Amino acid sequence: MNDFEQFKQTFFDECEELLQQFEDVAGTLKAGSNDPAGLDDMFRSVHSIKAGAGAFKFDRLVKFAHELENVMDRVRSGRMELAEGDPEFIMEAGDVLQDLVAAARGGVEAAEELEDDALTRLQAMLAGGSAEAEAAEIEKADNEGGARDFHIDFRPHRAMYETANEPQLLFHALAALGELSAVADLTRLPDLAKMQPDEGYVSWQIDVRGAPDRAAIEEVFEFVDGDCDLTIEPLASVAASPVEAAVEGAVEAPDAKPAAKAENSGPAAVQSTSIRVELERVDQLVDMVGELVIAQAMALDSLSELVDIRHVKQLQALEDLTMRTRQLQEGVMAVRMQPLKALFQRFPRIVRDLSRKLGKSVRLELDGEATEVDKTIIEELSDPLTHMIRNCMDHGLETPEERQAAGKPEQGVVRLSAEHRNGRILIRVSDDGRGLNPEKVFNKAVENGLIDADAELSKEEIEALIFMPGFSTAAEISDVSGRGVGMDVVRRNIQKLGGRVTVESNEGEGSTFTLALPLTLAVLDGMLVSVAGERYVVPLSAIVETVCPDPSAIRALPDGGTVMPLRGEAIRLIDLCQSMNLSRHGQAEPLRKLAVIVETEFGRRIGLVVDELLGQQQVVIKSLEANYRRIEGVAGTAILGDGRVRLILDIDGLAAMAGRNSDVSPKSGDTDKSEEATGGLSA
Amino acid sequence: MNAEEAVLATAEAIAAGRETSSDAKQYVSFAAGDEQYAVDIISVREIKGWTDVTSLPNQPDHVRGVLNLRGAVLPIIDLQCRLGGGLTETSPRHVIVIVAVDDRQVGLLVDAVSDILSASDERIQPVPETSGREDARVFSGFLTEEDQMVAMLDLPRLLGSEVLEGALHEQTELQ
Repeated sequence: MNDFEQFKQTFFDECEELLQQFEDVAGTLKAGSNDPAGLDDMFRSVHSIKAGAGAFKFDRLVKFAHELENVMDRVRSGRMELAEGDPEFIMEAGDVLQDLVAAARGGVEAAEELEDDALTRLQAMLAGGSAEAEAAEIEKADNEGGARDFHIDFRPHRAMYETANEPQLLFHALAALGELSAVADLTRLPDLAKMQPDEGYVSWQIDVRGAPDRAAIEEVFEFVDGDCDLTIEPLASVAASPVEAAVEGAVEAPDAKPAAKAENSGPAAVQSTSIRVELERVDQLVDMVGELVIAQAMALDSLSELVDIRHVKQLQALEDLTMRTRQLQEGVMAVRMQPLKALFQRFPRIVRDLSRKLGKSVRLELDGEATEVDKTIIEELSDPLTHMIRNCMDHGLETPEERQAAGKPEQGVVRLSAEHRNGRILIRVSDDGRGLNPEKVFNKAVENGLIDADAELSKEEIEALIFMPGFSTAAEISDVSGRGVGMDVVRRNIQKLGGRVTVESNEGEGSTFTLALPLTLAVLDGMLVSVAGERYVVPLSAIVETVCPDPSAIRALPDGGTVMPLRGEAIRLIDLCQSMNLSRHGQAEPLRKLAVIVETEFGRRIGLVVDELLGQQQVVIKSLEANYRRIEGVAGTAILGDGRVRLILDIDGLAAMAGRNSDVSPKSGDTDKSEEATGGLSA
Repeated sequence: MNAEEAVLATAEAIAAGRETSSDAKQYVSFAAGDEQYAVDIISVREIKGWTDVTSLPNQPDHVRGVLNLRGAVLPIIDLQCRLGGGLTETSPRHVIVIVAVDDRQVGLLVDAVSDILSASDERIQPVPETSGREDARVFSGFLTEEDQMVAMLDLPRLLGSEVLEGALHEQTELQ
């Protein structure tokens, strides 16, 4: 990539941010008066896009941005008020701008007439803008006596040169407007020894005679606006000898200089606080630190035999190393963490577009946008969340008539919130719509052959049916959410991230979908357990406690499962040896097994029956799916200190497997097995 | 050939292959059970001796487990078992041939690496149509080398059911 391409790349990257900024505020615009700070932001976004586009000669983009900028300028300065319908139009204009940027980025010509309608309306807004403003303009023009001769006091700041603007080019442009005379003012030029080569010391006094109008001159200085002191006055109103007067003023300039300098250092300081880094580089770093953690664990493992009073110093050093490795890892991980805002901010638009399409009035409430999550997770969440929000709006929310009939406000509410909890991130998508009708869901599942008509399910279990492949409640396939993908795909995408999705619903009151996700995909705090000679990692975040069950208290259930009492609660036991289909190869069973009490995402507690706890360890997660397929009951793999791969258990998957095994009418073989297991445990 | 010898032979063969200008392709052949099989040398990433693997729950018998190969977790497929034979009784003399298929890496457990074969496409005979076994589809052809039939493995078909299925799943993401 040559330099020019690189600049272009940077420009487009910035455009994305600027467009986002524009859209953020545009979404809050309303007819009448608006927050001036927001309007300023919008104006500046468009202005910056135009400036960059001008440099790369994207003419259509410049033209459109120019008109939009003019409108925004009038709005922000209070010379124009947004009428009914204008805020929506400005959103649309933002879309057009985005399309034009996208076309420029792709190096293709945007569709013809893409911007024409919006352009016409912008121009109409400008032409029809508030009458007073027009009048004021005209008056001003009158005061200028229809002057076509102007005096310009032009003092470039250092920032102007930093953005590679060249005064000479500006002069050429001015010369094209009329007869030009310019005098350079060198009074601020210091001694050579003191001179900063990149400072702007020179200012100019310029006379332009016979220019079309003031606007034409303003346009020349458009791209350096803000990076220079500029005054444009009709020539007649300036003192008889303008240059002299200006030079007088310039004599005072040295006093003003420090102030100007301080002003310049402001933006420069802001720039230096963040840098753009390719994601790939960060990922390499993350990978490398991951390998370091493994290597360090291996070293610790092999040296742990040295635990001896004579080596206390070495062990101390090793301990130190461990701590620092961990800090390093956390630091590197933090680089990948991003606030969810980047993801959430695209939903207001989706909701707005969709509410128009569906004819439903919907308010989107966002909460917890500042919550930070690994960038990979943010990227992977976009599709599932979009789908869920569409789903809420299409199926969850009633039509305005239905809402009125139900005594609810006509406007429906969709809420999207995020929070950190117990080392995981919880994202909730909820609506105040009709909620799930358990009976309907049940019947649908029977109809689609997902369950038997005589199955007895709890409300919670019925609600979970909507995540089954082949389940779709949409009576007819709409182009909004029924694209042949259902909540099962959402669930699979979330599971791929090591997360869970659950639903909670009250009929007539609405539904809440909860996504529970890991903060990062790279590391996990785990408990190493052993069963029949195999070792597994149980995510520490899921473990509540570990108990040694009293064999005589364990009860067999009619469905073949077993339960144990724990402080008045019946805890279902899952024998890992059985779930993982392990054979003991004649090894004796341990006399007393342990039950690791873990909590599922449903908040249900289950006990994993294992032989032994081997200790806590931080492991680097490696995807099993990178080279193989997903396995039920396994969340991923980890490489341990000894270099061996160990499986990370998926608690909910295990619970689901156990539930299913006991739900099916027990075949003779299964019964034997579970009895065996029960017998084994109580032996 | 054990793993080390096989690696050396492969390296030599690749070097030799560069020098010969013929359109013959090179294949790595190996023994599993009583049979000889071969794969295109291009798809072979690495050859290593057998080490214990971590078994995976509730998987077909021929999926022996997973292995850590410099930070990547690879499944190990018992070739003999996959092709209908019994489980291979492993020993340190057994060899894992690591092959790449569609950006995925998989280890094939075989008895030993036999040879590096050089053969032009014409020498490879199609699979006889009379072969009724469904498994025959995992062969792309046969090569007769010194009175012995070497079956050319069609890796995507051989591994498709388990290994590539995951990849297919990933493609059926949300629009």
